Parts: sequence; C-alpha cells; structure tokens
Amino acid sequence: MKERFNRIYILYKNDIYGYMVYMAKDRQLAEELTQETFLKIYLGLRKFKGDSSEKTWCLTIARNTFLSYARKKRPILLEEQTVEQIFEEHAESPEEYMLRKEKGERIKQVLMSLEESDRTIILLRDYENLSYEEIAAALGITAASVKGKLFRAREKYKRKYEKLTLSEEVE
Amino acid sequence: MAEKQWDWDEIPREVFDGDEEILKKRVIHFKKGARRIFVFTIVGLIMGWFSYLYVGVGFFPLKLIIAVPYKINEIIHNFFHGTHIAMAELDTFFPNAIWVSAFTEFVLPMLFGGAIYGSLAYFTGDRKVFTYKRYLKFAGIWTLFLTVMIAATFAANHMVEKKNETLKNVKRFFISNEMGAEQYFEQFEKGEMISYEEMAD
Repeated sequence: MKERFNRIYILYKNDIYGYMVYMAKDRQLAEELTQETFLKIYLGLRKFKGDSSEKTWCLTIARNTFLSYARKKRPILLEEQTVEQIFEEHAESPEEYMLRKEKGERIKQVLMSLEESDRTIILLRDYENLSYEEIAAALGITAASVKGKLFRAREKYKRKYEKLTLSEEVE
Repeated sequence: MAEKQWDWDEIPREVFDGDEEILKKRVIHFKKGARRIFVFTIVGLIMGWFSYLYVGVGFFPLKLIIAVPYKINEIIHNFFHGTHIAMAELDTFFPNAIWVSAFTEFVLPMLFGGAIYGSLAYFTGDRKVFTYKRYLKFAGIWTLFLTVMIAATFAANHMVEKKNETLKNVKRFFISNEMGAEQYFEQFEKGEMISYEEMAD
C-alpha cells in the first residue's frame, strides 16, 4: 500500500494541487486542502476497488474535501464574483495591473470568479483532461448533463473574459 | 452538442514548487500518530493489568494514576451489582463464578487502561489529522468493545448462578458458621446431604 500511495502521490500531486489553487483561490489554503486530500486518499486506498480511474477517484476526493471546507468555513469560495469584484479584489498598483493584463493571469482571475460548479467542470475537462464519463462519475451526474453544464460554464467564462478585457481597455 | 475548439489548454498550470514531501505531511503525521497510539495502548493495557496493585502504592499521585482503570471498572460493577465492593479479592466481583470474577478483576481494567492511554495518545497528535470527529469513531469502537465485555461477564455469571441455585454438578461444599467451625457435606447417590459427623455415627 505504501508503494501504491507513493506512486499516486507522484503522479497526481500537481493535478490535485492545481485544482485546489483554482478552487481555494489561495496557495496556502490550497496546500492545506491538498494535504487533507492526500490523507483521505491514504486512508481510503484499501477500500478503492477500481470502479473509476485513480485520477478520477483522487479528484473526487479533492472536490469533496474542498466542498466540505468551503461550506463550513468559507462559503464565499462557492459563489460567483462579478467582473467589478475581480477589479476590487485584485491588483491596484501599476505592477500588479500589468501582471493582471498578462493573459494567463486574466484567465486565472476569470476562472476563479466563476461559481464552484462551473469552475469545477471546466477544470476537470480542460485542466485535468478527464473524459465526460469520468467527470460524470466524479460529479455523480450523467455524461449528457456534463456536456450541458460544460457548455454553459464555458459560455459564462467567455462572457466574463470579454467583459474584463473590455473594462481594462476602457481603463 | 459538438464541442467547439477552444484554446482551453491556455489555463495556466499550477505546479507545487515547495518541499517534495510537504503535500503528504498529514499522511506522515498520521503514520507517526498511529504508531504512538498503538504504543500508548499497549502501555495502557499493561498498566491496566497491574492496576489492582494501586492499594500498595504510597505516593498519592502515582496511586491515582495506577488506580484509574481499576476504579472505573469497580464503579461500573458497583453500579450494576448495587453493592459496594471494598477489597480487591479474586472472587469479589462474582462470588459464584471465580473465573468470571478473575476476568473482571484483571482483564477489564486492562482494557480500560488501553482505552484511556490510547485516548491520551490521540489527543497529543496533530490536531489537523487526529480530529475530534475521528476520535469519536475511535472512542466509539472502544466503548462498544468494553460494553460487550462487561455484558459478557454478567451473562456468564448469570449462567453460573442458575446452575449453582440448583446445586447442579456440585458434589460437595463447605459451610462456615460464626464459631469458625466448618461442616463438610457430601451428597450421596440418593441425593441426601449428610455431614461427616453423621457419617461417623
């Protein structure tokens, strides 16, 4: 079991950490939640029967760990933010403003401003590269629902991204 | 619904750049903590086994520590017996069934000791790993186990008492009177009890 856990740790460490950074919006918190996720993975390894892929199983645990934390301690992490709130929350200094203008940072901020369910589904598909069936298994929904939710989440993302880009140009 | 071609691969990758082992820190703490709980539980079992020796300890704080498993056991049995048992005698708890009494005298305090010391080890662990919720599960298992053991002693004693009431399998017994003299009775085949004095006549 020790070898199996170590192998899982090496393989999925960054996938789980990356997911947590986008969900928790804070690296310190993401680190703690990732630690908790790996503890749950370690404790649950014996019971894992291989019904899904290891990656899907690990990400399901990660999502549940995040939800458990957010519902009790920081419900705001589950909510959607407006573009105006993104401006308020982030960067006011010229250096930070320039950093924010970088596409990567803009993508991050818009992604992090989505509500939890939209963020999760985009991350699972486009960041973690899970299939529709794997995402369906992780979220407990059908593959058809995954497609619908993913489409809507991407549309929301696209609208916000365009709005943020426009707002920055106006500024 | 056909999936459009998005440039979603542009979602920046987040790579953990800290210490290699940091993300499994809680797993490491869990393993260390579990070993500590195991060791403390073994120590507790040993301390519980010798708990009855508290009567001979003079130094009060030490006496208190050693006595705890025995006294908890005593309180529970006093509660169910409805009497106060003062001395630690082999047949004190269940006079009708000496082996059940011995089990209660030694094994139950041993189990109480294991539970108490194991719990102490639990609370000295990493609070983020050994949470209150996980402790409840640990304590729940011990409580269930101890309840079953205590119930088993009363059940075993009840069975023995039932047999003793009808003197089943009892071939001979002693009766002591206030004068200290004893009479020895033996049961003959026809089921009559006759003392040795009568036999001598």
